[in-house]
Amino acid sequence: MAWFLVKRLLQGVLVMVLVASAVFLITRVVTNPALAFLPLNASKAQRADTLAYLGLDKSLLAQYWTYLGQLAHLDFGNSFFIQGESAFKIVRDAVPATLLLDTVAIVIALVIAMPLGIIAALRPGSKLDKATTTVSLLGLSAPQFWLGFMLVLIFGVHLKWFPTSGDLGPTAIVLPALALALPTAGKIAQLMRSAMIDELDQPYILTARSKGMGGFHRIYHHALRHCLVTVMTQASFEYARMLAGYTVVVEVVFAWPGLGQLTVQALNDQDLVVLQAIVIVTAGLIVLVNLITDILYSVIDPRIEATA
Amino acid sequence: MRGHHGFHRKILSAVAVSGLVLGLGACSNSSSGGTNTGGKSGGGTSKNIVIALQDEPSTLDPQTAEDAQQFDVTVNINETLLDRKNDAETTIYPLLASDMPKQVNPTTWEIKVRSGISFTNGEPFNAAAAAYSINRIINPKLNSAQLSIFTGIKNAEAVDDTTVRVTTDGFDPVFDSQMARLTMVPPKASTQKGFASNPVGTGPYMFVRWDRGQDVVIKANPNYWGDTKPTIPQATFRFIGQSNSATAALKTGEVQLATNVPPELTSTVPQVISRDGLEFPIVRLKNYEGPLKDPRIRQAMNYAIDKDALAKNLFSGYATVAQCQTLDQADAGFDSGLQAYPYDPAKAKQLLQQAGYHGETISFLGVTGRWLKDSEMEQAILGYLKAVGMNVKPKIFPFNSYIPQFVKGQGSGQPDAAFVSASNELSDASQISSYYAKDGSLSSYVNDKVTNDLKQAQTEQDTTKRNQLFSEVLTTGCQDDPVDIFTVNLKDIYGASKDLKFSPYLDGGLRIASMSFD
Repeated sequence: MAWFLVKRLLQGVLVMVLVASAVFLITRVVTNPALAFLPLNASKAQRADTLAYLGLDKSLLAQYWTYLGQLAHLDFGNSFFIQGESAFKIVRDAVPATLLLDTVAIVIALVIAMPLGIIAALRPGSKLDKATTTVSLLGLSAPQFWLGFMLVLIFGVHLKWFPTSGDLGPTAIVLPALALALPTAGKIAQLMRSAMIDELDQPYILTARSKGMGGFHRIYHHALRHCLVTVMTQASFEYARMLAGYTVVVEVVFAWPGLGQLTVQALNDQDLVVLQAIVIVTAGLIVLVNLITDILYSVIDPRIEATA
Repeated sequence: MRGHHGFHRKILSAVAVSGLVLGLGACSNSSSGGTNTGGKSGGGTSKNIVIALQDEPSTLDPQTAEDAQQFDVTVNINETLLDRKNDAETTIYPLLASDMPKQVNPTTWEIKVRSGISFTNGEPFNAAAAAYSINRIINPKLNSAQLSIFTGIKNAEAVDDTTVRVTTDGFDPVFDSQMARLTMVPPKASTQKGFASNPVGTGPYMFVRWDRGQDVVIKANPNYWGDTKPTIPQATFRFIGQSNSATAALKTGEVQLATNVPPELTSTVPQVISRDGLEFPIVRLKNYEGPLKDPRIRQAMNYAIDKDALAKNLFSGYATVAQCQTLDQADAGFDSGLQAYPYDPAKAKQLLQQAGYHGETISFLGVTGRWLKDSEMEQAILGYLKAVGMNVKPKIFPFNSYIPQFVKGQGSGQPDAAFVSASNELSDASQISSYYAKDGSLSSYVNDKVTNDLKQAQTEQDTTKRNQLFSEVLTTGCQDDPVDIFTVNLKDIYGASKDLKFSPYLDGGLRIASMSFD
C-alpha cells in the first residue's frame, strides 16, 4: 500500500510538471498580455515597456528556465496586475469555494442517482423504470448554463426561495450545486441502473433468492456493494470534470467566488501567472481525487488491492 | 480592456444566451419586489446600494490600470485636481484644486490646491501630495496603462504648500482634460505593498473590504471635505459576469443597479437608465495601397450602410447614428457641421463603377466577443457591402488573436478593412490622431494635409484656430478621403431598481455620491 502511494504520488508530480510546461508554452505562444493590458491606442514603445515590465521580453527558453526554477521552490510568481500579490495566494483563496460547491454537488448527485437507479433496475422495462430513465435522461441532457438560468428564474426570481447569485448566506449554494448535480445525477443513475440489472442477474443473487433472502437484504448486502465500484469510478470522474470544467460555467452563471470564475477573470485579463497557478492547482486537485478514489476502491471491495 | 472612456469593458458571451432566457424572463411580469438588505443607518431614506459589475476590478490602485471596473470603484475614493460636470458640455471645474490651472509660460502650468484636506488615513493632501501623484503616474517604473493619456507631462514639483508647478514638453492644449483624469493618491500609503487592494483617497467614500471573486465594499467618508455629502451610507460592488444573472438579481431586489445591460434585456429590468456613451464601432479603411485606394470606393462603403437600421434593429434603439466622426458632441473639437452619409445603395454602386471597382477582393479583419454585438455588426456590414457588389473576405478572430493583427504598422500587411470600437479618453479631438495621422498608433491612413493639421493642432494655443484645424481634418476624413466606415454611437445602458435616482456620466464612472433613493 505504501509503495503504491509513493508510486502514485511520483506519477502525480510528473503529470503536474507536464501540465505546468504545457500551460506555460501555450499561453506564451498564443497571447500577448501587453496588448490586453494597455488601451488600444498605446504606442509601440509603451507596449515594449509593458512586455519588459512583465518579463515577457526575454527569450522563451530563459522565461521557461526561470519559471521551472520558481516552481521547484513552489513559487508561482506574482500576479501581473495586482502588484506584489502572489498568484498562489489568489488561487488558494478561491479553492475552498469551489471544493465546497463541487463536493455538495457530487453528494446531491449521488443521493438522487443511486435510489433512482436501483428503483429502475428492480423491474426493467416497467413503467417505473421508463419514468425514472426518462427523468435521468432529461437531467443528463440539460446543459449546465441553461439549467442554471432556469433554476435562477424559477427558484430565485419567481419563488424567491434562494438568492440568484453570489455566496452570501448559507442558502446561496443550493442553486449552483443543483445546476452542477442534476446532469451528473442523470449519468450516475443510468449507470447505477445497468450495473444493478447486471448484478441482479448473477447466479449468487439467484441463490440468495432461492434461499428466501428478502429483496432489501439481497440488494443492500450483496448487489449494491458490487455496483458501488462502478458508481465510484464514474463519480470520481464526474468530480474531476466538475473541478476542471463544469464549475467554470456554473460559477460564472451564479457569480460563485471560486476557481471557475477566477479562471475566466485571469483569461480576460491575460494574467498568465495566475492562469498557470490555476492550472497547476487544478491538476494537483485532480491527482488527489484519483488517489483518494484508488484508496476507496480497496475499502469498498477488499479483493481490489491497492497495487499499481 | 472594455470600452468606457477608453477603458476596457468586456462584453462577455453572456449576450449569446440571453435569447434563451428572454422567453421565460418576459413572463415574469418584471415585478421589482424584494427588499433592500441595507439601510442600517437610521437616516430614514438612507439605504445602502448593491451594484452588479460585469467583471472584477483587476486592481484598486487608481493609477495603474485602464479598467472600467476599477474606475467604477475608485472614482468614489480617489479624486482629481479638476473634474467634469455632468452637463451637456462636461464642463471642467476645479475639485481638489482651488482654481483652474494658470499657464505661466508655454510649457509651465501652476495649480493651486485646496488646503485643509486629508486622505482618509490621515495623510495631508497638499501640493506635495499632488506633485507626488503626478510624478508617480508618469514614472515608467509604475508601468501605468494610463500613461498614453498623460503624454507631454514632464514633471511636477511643489512650490509651496498649496502650489504645484507642472512642466510639459511643449504647449499642452489638453492639460485641463489630463488633470481631470489624473487621480490623487496618498504619498505614504501608495508606496506600501498592498495599496492595490486597499486604496486610500480624499473622496466621498472610503474603502472597507475586497472579497476576491465576490465583492468590493465602500462606505461614506464621514469627514468628507466637499459640499456634496453622500446620502447612501454604503455601496457594495458585486461581480456578476452574466447579464442574465445580473438582471435576475435586479428583479429580486438583490442589486439596485447593474451596468452594461444588453439591449434585448432592457424589457426585463425594473428601470432602464441610458445615455450616449463613448463607443463608436467603425470599420477602419486602408487608403495608401490596395483595393480601397480610390476615395470613391470608401465613400461608396459609407453610402452602402443603413446606419438607422443598425441603431434601431441591432441595438433596439440604444444607439444613435454617428455624425461622420468618432466624437461626442460634448468633446472639444466636435464638428457640428458634419453629417452622416445617407443610406443610398444606388449611389454606392454608381461610385464603385466610376472608380472602376470590379469585384477585387477586400480583406476584412473582425473580432468576436469583445464589444457589444461586435460579430452581429460585422455580419450586418458585410451584408450591406455585398449587396452593393463588393467582394469582402472576412477573417473574424477572438480578441487575443485579433489584436496583434489590428495593431500592425503601415506597410506590414495591414488588412484593407478592420472592425474596431473607437473611443475617446480625453473628450478631446486630439485623440483621433491614432487613426487619422500617418504616424498614429492604429492608423492605416496616409493623408499629409491631415497629418500636418493634426500636428499643428497639438500646439495651437488659440481654441478657435485649433477647432478649425480639427474641423478640416474631420471633414477630409469624412468626405474627400474617408478614413473609416462610420456607423453608430452606442448608448450606455444601466438597469436599476425603480426607486434609484442616477444620471450616468459620459465617462461611465459610478459616482455613488450623485445617486439617491426615492
